[in-house]
Amino acid sequence: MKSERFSARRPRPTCSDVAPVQLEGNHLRLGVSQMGGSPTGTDLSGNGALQTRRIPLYSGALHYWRIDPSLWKQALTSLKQLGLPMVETYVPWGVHEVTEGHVDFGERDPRLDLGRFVDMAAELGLWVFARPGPHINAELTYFGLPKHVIYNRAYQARSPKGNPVIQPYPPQMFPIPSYASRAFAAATQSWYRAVADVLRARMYPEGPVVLLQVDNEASYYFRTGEYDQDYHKDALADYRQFLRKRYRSLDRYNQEYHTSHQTWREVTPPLSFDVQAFDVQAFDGQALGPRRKGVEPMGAGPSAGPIGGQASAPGSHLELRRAMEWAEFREVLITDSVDRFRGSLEAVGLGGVPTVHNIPLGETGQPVNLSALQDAVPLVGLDYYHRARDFETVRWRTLFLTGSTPIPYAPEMGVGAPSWFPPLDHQDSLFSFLTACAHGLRGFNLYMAVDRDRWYGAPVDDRGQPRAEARSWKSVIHALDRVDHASLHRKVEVAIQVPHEYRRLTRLTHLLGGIVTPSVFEALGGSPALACREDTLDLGRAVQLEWHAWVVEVVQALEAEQIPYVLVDSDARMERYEGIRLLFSPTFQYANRRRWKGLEQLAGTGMHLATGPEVPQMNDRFQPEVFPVGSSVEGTSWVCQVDGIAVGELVRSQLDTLGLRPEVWVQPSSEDHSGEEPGREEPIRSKDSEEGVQETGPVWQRGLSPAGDVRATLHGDASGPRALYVMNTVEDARRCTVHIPRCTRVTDLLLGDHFEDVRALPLQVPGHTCRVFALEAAVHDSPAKENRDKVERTDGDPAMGAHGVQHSSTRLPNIQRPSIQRPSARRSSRRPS
Amino acid sequence: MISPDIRIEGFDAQSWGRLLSLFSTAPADLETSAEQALLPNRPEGTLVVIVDDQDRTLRALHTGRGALTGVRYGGSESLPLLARDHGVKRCVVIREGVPEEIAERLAVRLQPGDDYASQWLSCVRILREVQSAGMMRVWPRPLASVPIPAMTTLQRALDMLLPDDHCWVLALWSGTHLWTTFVVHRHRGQIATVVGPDRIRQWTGPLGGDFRRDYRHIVRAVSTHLAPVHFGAFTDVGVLDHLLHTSHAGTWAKHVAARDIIVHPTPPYAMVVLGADAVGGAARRAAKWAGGLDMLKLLRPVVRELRSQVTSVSSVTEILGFNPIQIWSQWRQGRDAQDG
Repeated sequence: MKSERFSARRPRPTCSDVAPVQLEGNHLRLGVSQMGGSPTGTDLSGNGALQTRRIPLYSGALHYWRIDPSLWKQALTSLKQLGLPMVETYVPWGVHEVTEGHVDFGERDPRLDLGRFVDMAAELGLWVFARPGPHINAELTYFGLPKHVIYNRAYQARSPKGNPVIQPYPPQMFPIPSYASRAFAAATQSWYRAVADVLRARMYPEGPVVLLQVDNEASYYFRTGEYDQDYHKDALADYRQFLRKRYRSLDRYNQEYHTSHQTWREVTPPLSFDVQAFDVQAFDGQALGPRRKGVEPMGAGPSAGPIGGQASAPGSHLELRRAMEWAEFREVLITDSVDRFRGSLEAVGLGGVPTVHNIPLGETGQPVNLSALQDAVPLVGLDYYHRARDFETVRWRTLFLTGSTPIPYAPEMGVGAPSWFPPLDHQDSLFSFLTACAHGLRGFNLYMAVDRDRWYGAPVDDRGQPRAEARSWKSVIHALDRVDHASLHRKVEVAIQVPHEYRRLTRLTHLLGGIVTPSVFEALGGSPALACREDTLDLGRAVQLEWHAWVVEVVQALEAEQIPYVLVDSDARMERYEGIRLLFSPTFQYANRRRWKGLEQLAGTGMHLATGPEVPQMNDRFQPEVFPVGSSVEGTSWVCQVDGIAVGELVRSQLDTLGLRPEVWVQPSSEDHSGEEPGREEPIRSKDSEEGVQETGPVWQRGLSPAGDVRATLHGDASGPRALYVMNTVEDARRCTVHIPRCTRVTDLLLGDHFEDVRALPLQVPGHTCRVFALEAAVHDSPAKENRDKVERTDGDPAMGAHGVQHSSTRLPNIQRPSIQRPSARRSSRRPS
Repeated sequence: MISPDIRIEGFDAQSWGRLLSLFSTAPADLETSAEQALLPNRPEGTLVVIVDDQDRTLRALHTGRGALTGVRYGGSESLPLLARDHGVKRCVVIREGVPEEIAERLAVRLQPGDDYASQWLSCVRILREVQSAGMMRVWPRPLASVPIPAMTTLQRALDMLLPDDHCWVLALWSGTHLWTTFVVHRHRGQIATVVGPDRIRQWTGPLGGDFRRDYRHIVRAVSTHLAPVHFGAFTDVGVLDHLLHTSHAGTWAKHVAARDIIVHPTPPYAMVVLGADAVGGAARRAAKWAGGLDMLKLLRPVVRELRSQVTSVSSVTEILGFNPIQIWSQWRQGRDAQDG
């Protein structure tokens, strides 16, 4: 498949061939090291040999400046003992440069000695992932930015009325910087230069720094309302440039918008979503500037009329088009800013290692383009802070991540939470983590691995001592290592597109603005469309609401059939569709032309397409256009759902047509055993050699095998299935039988029990827990009876954690405890067989 | 009042969750789905109705059930009915564009150097403004009768509650286990540190498990590592829960007398509160015995006398204009003030 995106913007940056560190197959590939020495003389490459090695993208966060330097060694050691090869730390601008122009990297305050900290990590055999901001949050006052930067008016983002934009986070509300401000970008480069003075000599291969993050959660500092910001003068200049690039000339812009601007400076962005401007008012040919909505007292009757308005012809959707362009521009602004920051890092000598960026919770409702960001920064991931009961949200997000990025990565996998978040406990963190892994997350940064102020719940306390929870994390990370989780993949043949042109409309029609944004609803487990207006906007339907509902219906139908699927960003590169046989894509009265061309291209490759509920009549500039679909695209299998056909029916018919069925499926127990003590679990064997054992499990049948509350996912490599994750999505224990491909040996990696020659596993899964099994080719050298006599324990044992995780080393007969060793030594054991 | 450099440390997930549960409507450890199931018809959540400038509903949502259809807003008088019909505890009607208006007003009012408490007072004032202007309706209006204190008023209350370079300690046990702690340190006039039980244990070493004895170790450790303790309350979480759920006068004083709760040190304002509570309790009992005679009125000189013994102290309630313990207790019991 061609390497192109539905919506290509810029050449995709890759780590150059000569770069010492590259991303490869969910790992970091460390290139040939000259001597492999760290700054402190530690040989990081393993005996100084010239070699290439891979390390998984597993790390844990530790904030050096928040811990007394005398405790660094203990904390790093504890972090490493969790089984993590890499330590991650922010480098906080606001902490290092309290006074403008005076940057302290340990000269005055030993806690700020970043160089010493990095060297110590190297001495202990840890790689380093540094995140120098400028924005870091980290629950720091002003999100880690210096006070003198925050209060510099030239840097501040602007509201529609030209006011600063306030971020209300504790412990102090503050005006946020503008992503467009060139002055802020220049100040950031100065900060990067100071960081580079410390880190440049410590970058791989000379030192242990192998990963760098550019900025943090670039999403307008959570003030993501479409009309909340950014009306900074540099942003307005960028907006005009964006339009200039799109329309090429002002004449064409005037022609298309029925305006008469003399210069580009007269072109202004919309300040609010004014539905009346395009569906009520008559076009008078005057450019009056955008209309502001009144906020008169309730009961005061109709608003006195527009304060100003760029009026347009009824039904022409010009105002809607202008709004959509503004929404798209705001995505571009973020991407360009991140790209600018990355360029600054390279400019100061911090290139040569892959760069990372993270997107916070609620990504569907954010003015951020995940696919476009990957053109600026190669490793873009999602942050996770979820309660155990948010299973569906974690699943959705991870399937979106796995469907839309080459390396599904979580730059912040929440372990514990900030003091001012809704409370999260150990089970929340662990279950969310395993749920994400079960759905394809391949790399993660445990945030936080080591506790600190304004945070609670890390596995290592702020004195570097492991807490009881550290054992669970150690067991889980070791289990991932045993199956080489980072190298595995899920066989997925079904995808659902998440179109940008509809997401933008959802954001634009959000009614609560300000701080309660679509992302907030999404982060809380709701739909980003929850607070959208219900108007049809002359589009026949309330597309802003219906597209999401359509996708949810497809998801529910696939879940009911236990068919694996992914969600794909509509701007994702074509490689993301490799292996996909069936693609669902919501289509309404308008659609993005490039997306449609991509669909046509995919249909041409033989992929089955199912779109609906409408055939588009307009492009996303709301101009009439013919969109070939279904039988009109010769030689393709393209079904367009028409009204009257339920989405579930559409899904089932397509699955039938392709003969798709689950590779692994769960049969819930018909009896309620939730109150019982865990008992013996007898596997269903694939052979008929033992008395009383079924020859084969029941056959999966559509409609007769409802998924219930337990979900299972299968992961494998070229040799076949390697790992099985079984999750109980509800609070109470559930019994079920998990049917897996035959001829396997199954080992519970957290409890240690194993079975041979099974194809169906009867299990009890405690509430909100995930069990992890290794699957291997069948081994016939041990008596089957002995294996059958094994008793699996799932709960009720005080030694077990909430996830059935071993709390005593004596209970892990089949698991080698991870030893404390250098990254190079441990890497060899992780390398795929 | 709140330091921008405030440190919050020494909590694990459990102890932090427990601390927060003190401010929720029921203790986290006690709230189970079974208990919830016993109250199937209890009003739950908030109904949010977003309307246009002609009060037409643009969207209605329930915080637990998602979007609702067919919700009609018929003026502020209809809010109680709307809440009843939809089985919600609260109802908020907000005009489209008001959140943005609030954000703009806030941006204009905040000044560099304002501390977080001051910033929140600005927010609350703006919220009241938009309500008064009819841009937003809330039913019931929680704390509507509570005046918004000026920053200087809050500062005075804090000065009395927690003098500079002193600590305020709340330590709760569950049986013999230190359940959670809330240690607040004021430094340079601002709340500078909040400390949890992990740190306390580091400072004290192993505790005996009886709060009636352990409290001394905690007071000593906090005094050594942070600052002298100005006020300390040490009790079992069950006792505190009971105290916050009862409105009977004299209950606090009775538990203090029985050492179910240790108050140590006992600053003057605590003595006043406990003394008044004891007098109130005595009056209530006496009234019962005396066939409805208003003993409280008779005892008022006693209270005055008690207060006169405490030099230069007036009650926190008098300074703030409301009783913070009462607000906390109401909040815990999920009782919104129904005064509209």
